[in-house]
Amino acid sequence: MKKNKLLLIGWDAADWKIIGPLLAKGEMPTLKRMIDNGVYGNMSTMNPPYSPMLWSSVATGKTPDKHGVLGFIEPLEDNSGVRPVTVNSRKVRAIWNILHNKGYKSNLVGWWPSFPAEPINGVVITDKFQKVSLDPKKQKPMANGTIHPKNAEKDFKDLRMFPYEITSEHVLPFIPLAAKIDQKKNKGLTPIAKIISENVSIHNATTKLLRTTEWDFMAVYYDLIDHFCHSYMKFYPPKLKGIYEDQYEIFKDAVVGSYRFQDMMLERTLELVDDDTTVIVMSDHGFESGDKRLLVMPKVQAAAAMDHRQFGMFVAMGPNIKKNEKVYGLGLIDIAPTILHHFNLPVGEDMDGKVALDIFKETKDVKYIKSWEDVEGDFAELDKKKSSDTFSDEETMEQLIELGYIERPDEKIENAVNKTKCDLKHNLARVHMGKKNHERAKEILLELIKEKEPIDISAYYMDLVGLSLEKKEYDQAQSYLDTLKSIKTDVKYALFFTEAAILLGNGKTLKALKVLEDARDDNRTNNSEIWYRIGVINHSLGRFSDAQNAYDRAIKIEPDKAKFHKALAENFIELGEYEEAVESALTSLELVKYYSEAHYVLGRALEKLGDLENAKIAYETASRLTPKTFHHAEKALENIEDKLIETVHLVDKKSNAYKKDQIVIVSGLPRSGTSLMMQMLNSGGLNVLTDENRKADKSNPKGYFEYDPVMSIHKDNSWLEKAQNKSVKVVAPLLKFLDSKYRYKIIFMNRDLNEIIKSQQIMIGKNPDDLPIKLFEAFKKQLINVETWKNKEPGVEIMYLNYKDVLENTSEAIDKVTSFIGVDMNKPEMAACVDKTLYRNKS
Amino acid sequence: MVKKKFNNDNKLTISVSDIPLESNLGLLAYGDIAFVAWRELKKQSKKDLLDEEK
Repeated sequence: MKKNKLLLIGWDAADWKIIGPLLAKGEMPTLKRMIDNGVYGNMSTMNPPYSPMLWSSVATGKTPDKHGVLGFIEPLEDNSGVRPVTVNSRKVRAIWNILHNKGYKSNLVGWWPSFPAEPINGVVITDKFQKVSLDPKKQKPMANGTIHPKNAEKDFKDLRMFPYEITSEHVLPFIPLAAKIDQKKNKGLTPIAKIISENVSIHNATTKLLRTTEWDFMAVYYDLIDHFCHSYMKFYPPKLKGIYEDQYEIFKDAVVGSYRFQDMMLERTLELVDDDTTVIVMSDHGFESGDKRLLVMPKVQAAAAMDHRQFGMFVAMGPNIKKNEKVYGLGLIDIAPTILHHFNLPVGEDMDGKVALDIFKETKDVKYIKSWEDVEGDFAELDKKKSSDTFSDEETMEQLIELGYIERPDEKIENAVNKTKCDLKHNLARVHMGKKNHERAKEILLELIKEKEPIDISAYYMDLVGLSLEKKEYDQAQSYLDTLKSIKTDVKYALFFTEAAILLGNGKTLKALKVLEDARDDNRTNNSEIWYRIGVINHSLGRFSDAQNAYDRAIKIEPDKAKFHKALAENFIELGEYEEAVESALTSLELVKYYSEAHYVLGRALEKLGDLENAKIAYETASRLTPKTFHHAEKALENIEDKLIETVHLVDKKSNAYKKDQIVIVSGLPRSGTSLMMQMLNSGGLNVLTDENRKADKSNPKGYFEYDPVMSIHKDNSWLEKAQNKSVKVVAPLLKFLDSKYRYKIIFMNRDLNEIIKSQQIMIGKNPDDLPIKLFEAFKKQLINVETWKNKEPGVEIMYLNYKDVLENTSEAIDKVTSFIGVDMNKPEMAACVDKTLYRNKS
Repeated sequence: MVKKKFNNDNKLTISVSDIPLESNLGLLAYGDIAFVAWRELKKQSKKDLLDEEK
């Protein structure tokens, strides 16, 4: 029996920027296979991008303020110390708790955090399983709670690989010149044995579970790529200034090696799942690999995470997953709702994410439940009061310190605990800032600035300045900035952005521009944000050419920042370059789908181009995404509505001369006589591009003459080459996707809209006398769109032909058609196609 | 290459020749079966070496 299984594989920090070239070179063949057979796209991360918070959002569909995991470490319940974050910090149910309640079986391997194991129906190998000592003589027995069920420990404990088992053969694929390293002087190889052995342990547990257990849902987490990136990304090509040539040569292949090894493990994993299983591979964030790589970490909380990039990766493959299609706008919080939907379970209305319906071939309605937290019953949750042991874990703490995720805790326990509590609160404030809960964020930050040394309160002031700027409280921002400047701190802040923003807010635009230009000239590295802000100011001053230059520079440095492309689109509108504006707005939306301002700018550009219907959609989307505040979008919508209700005047645009390799398109609204015209052209001797997949029926007894690829012309229009010197049927809304490199003669069948709608109502089994007003309006808008579109397409000629004229003045209509196409045709045969008895549903 | 049958704890019999032993990293990527076999062979070869020394 087919099972609806789903395997979720986490690759911490995997980034398309590294994967792309590897795919092109055939060095990640398994991921390539998944992409070819599934969907792929960016995965947008959240702020702050700290992995335990992010993977908990993946598991719960909720933001960290709701799920409670707020950092890498947590204080012990009795405040006697700190430890790596555990399940105890999570306040809400994860996907596996819900699946447990509904009778599904889940396996979990290495999820961060998953220790201590929750007693779910299935096997849990926690994130403590792979953590072993570097020293063979210091191995400790496996802690209680490492594996559930307890009796499975004996089956898995010997699958842990120890760092001392790693040999030179294991290391050489990552670092081919490892032999050149003088290990007494250079500690560059130290992390590698631990990273590889830990991930092999995770992989061993995974393959064993895949081979030997029955399951419905399985989630596995690997930190291989993230840990390799933290240790070796600084050596990744191109060589950074400040990296010695010999070191670069030795370590430059390490990061790529980790991706290739991860792909090898994926190959084996996929061998062990059947074709009915849906597989998702995703990361929680990307990793800087260009000029923005940091060689020296600033002394701020979780400094290493400053190397994390906004976009991670997402790939999914399975029986109900679309093939080789890019999907947009995915966020970490969308994963849990999507998995619930996959299992036909309702999504919690209190979840922050949405079901990623775009990934599915066949979609079904999303079911909702108020909250899974309110459901009574067994969810296999831990009794947190009982599981309040210390869980001392020096190995993990040491590793987090080495990776730069945490600072070495203060020797005074009291200080260490307080610092941890402050960091967690600060992270919570930052989560609220990300969710635009400004008041809550401010409350927390105002509490935090009361802290005394050794807590460094400068970062809290920095966020208060940011909050004030968001709220346009410039005097308040200046006051916080003045205090920040007076605080003794080791952290160096780039205050020129803040100073410029305050000046700008106070109307001192030229001074603000000067501050940024000075910063640009002082800044030895190319800083995209400086260029962007210079662009914004120039735009506001009406210096659109200067603004364009600045935006171009910003995009050159950092091409995947959505706001840069949005700003460029706005600037193109001012320059009157509307098509370029559409292009830039779409690029912005490709990066961040739910970006309301970019939808709004897209709407403006489309409106300028005269594509009112799509402009309306863009404005509606912008308005929907920020319904309370987007007055611009609402007003623009009202204007569009006014324009759309004007009368439709259809005007021919034709030359009556044959054009070399022309494509004859028969178009029109559905039920306007397009099939009849196709039949006439076919009988008249013009070759027809059709696959005859849609058979004749009582609505169209002589056949439809359709060609299936037309329906996906918005994704692939390469087949148009085959249509040269032939005729093909393309319905009106799809005309805009025709490739402008060809010549088109469009015979647009026109019919009284009331008749069309009546005919359609009958075709779909509805009462023909019910006139659906919305449909009527929609058709009218489509006609307007065609009119606008044809005027800006030099390769397009169009002739409107009335369906009624074809039936009643056939000979005249045929003359018009043949003359328009410009070739000799068999007119009697064309006329013979006309069967007046089929003229039904007259108005 | 050493050809040897290895029984894992679920009685699944595999041939070591099916595992990409030519690459040690490939072996690790193969997962639990290969790992257990590899460790077993390593132990065996260490024992053989000790026996030879005796």
